[in-house]
Amino acid sequence: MEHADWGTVYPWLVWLLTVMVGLGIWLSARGRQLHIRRLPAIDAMEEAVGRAVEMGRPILFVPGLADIDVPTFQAIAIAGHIARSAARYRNRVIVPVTNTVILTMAEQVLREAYAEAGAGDVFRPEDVRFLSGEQFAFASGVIGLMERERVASSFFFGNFAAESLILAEIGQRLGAIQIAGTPSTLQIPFFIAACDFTVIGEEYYAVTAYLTKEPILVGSVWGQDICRIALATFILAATVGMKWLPPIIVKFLTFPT
Amino acid sequence: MDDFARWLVRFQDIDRRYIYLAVAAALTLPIVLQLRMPQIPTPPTQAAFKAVENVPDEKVVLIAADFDTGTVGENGPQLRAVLEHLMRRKKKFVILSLIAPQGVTIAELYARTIGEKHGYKYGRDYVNLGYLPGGAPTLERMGRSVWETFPTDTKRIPLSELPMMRQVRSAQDISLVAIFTGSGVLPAYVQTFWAQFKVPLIEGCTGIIVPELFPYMEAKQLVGILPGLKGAAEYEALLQQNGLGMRGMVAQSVAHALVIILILLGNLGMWLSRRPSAQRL
Amino acid sequence: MLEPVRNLWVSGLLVVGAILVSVAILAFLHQLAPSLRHRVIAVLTFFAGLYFPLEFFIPYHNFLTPWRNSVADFLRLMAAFTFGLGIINLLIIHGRHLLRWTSNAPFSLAFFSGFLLMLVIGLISHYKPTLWAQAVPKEAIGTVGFWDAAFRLFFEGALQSLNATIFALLAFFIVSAAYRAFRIRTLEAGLLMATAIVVMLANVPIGQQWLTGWIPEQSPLAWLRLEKLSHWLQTQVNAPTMRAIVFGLWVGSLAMAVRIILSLERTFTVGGQ
Repeated sequence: MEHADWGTVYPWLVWLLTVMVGLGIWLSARGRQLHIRRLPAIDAMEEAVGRAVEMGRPILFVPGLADIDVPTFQAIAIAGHIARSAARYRNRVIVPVTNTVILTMAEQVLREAYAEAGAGDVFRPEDVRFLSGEQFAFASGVIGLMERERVASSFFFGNFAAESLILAEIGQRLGAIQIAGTPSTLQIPFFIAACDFTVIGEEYYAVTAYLTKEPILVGSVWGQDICRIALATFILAATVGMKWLPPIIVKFLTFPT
Repeated sequence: MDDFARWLVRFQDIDRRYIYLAVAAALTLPIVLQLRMPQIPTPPTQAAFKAVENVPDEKVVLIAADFDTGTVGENGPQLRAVLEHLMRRKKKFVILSLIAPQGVTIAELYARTIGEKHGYKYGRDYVNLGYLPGGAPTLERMGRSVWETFPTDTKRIPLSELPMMRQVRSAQDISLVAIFTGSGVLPAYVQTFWAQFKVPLIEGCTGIIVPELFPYMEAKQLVGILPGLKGAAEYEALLQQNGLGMRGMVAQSVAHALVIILILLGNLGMWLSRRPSAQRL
Repeated sequence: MLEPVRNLWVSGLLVVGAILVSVAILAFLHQLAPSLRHRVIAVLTFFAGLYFPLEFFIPYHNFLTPWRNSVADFLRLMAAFTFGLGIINLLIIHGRHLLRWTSNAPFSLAFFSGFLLMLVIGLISHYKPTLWAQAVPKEAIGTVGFWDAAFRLFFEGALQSLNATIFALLAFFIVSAAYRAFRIRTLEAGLLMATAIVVMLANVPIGQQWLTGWIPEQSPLAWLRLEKLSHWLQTQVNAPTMRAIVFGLWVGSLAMAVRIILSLERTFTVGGQ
């Protein structure tokens, strides 16, 4: 549809979900304690960083086939956290990217992370590098990087396609501890098979909230959970009740064809 | 039996290079020996075939070659099969790509090669519009006015000088969009060509992303799918042609059988190693 | 909405003017106090992000709709602009390796060789195909010129083959990963194994024809045919599950977009800006 059809449920649903997320943020900002359940994959991040420090080898963070979109922003945010942890122990984080806008963002985020930890001299601008915009040229560049630098820990966060298994298998062969998270549902099975920990589905957007415990982020994640419960209830109720609903309501709930 | 059990337990830790060797043999021998296997077309491929059959004469087909050389092993045979079908039916088509500059070059190469057999001429029967970056917004713009979005084709020939393009001004002159891709580019076409301009879509995709497309077929946003190399082989079976798809599927079948055997052996070895009597082995 | 400018001098002046205005805006932002700068950027982010949702949610052709083409062109320009940044980054990194002759210098030499070769051949074959070469007569159908042949050699012969080779690695890695990871240690793993085997066998003629091809299509046991079982698993089990995961992801994406547009997401910004 070129413009929103307010005679159907969809635009109303988007705004309702937005309000619910806003409600979570508002409640959290007012000091209400909201709970996020434990996420083992994210708990393991600190361990992965520690292992790389012990072995004296760098960490690799791959933000996926980065485009200027929401999953990549989340990946850069996570890269910032990993960099802050690594910077405390003066360890390197290598970030290869496929998109140069993300390159500039990642470089600034990492530079600041190292500066905050007082390890500005450890940060090397060439550790954040553009390899290629091509999927498999990027993959071959990353696996070459992994082999030459002998990375001890690998993090794969962002949008991935077929190269996911290539990257994860090489890391597995090197004995690196690997943690992955992607909104690309089709790549999740490959990461599960080849990585030590995998963040699945909506957990991906909860990572920064879990790591920082910042009230606004935690509130947003809580709001997302309420949205999902509401959505599931609505879908179930509408599916079961479709038989008894009047035609005007059915038309409101159905996507126009 | 004890020897076999011992071997199976050790097999769990087999050097992966032996596995790679076995895979290489499973993939190459069927092609070298020119083995053949019949293909039964499945409903998604049959639906795609029917969609191409039903293209009216006065409209063109949009070939979206959104793949690069990495996935040409699967998308290539699919595209070749659909082009062969279009050319047999004397249908005109335009080529573009939303995400892969290499795709349009590969597509035009196929069109040129297959077109020689059918007397197809560039400019009269097919045109390569080239790479169109910018995602759904620019695709939408193209659907409203092809000439505004592409003043020239990829060879920098003005569209006014290409006889075929005089009848192609907007999405209304396009009867079908055939997408060939290994990426998740379908939503852009669904948002624009299907939702706004009501043009049916078919997609030839790599095997990995097939599960992602079934919801679109259930919602009737996609009318047909060519799933991976198998889809290409099924399409060739419908065309009664022994092409790359058919030949590649034999190798893939043997490799699938190998994977199943390896997994079963691995699990047998794991089970044997866990038994108390395994201590004796 | 914005018509293309045909006059070369006017368009040149517009480009220079746009650059000067951009530099002025950046300089102005740089002069501001950090907290004020944050507010200015937050306001700009909000209004920039508001265009698409506002244009979409107003349910008819509105004052924002004529600007859609211009915004789409702007996005195309941004995408094209980033190519230059990437090239500069590559040249700097690999140039450093070469100048210092580090252990990775041979790889950098390979990069420069390939880069320069493709650049030169591509430019010549596109703009000056008769440079030091004979022109191809129009009637010589099927003959290509020297530079065109050289371009095809490197693009189709080298690049295509290399890309396909890397993708082909997946075949080996999938098998070794499956062999290593697919161990039935739990009930869920057993279910996974069973469904994987059904779907794999249904995709190949071995399964379709030889194993269950003998079951008649019309019989009550037709559902046991591998292609029907596989189709059922993929459309009635797998597809709804993936849809559910995608719903969750899109809600998360919506929440993240709300945080970005309201400048509440500071974790990826620099200095919280």
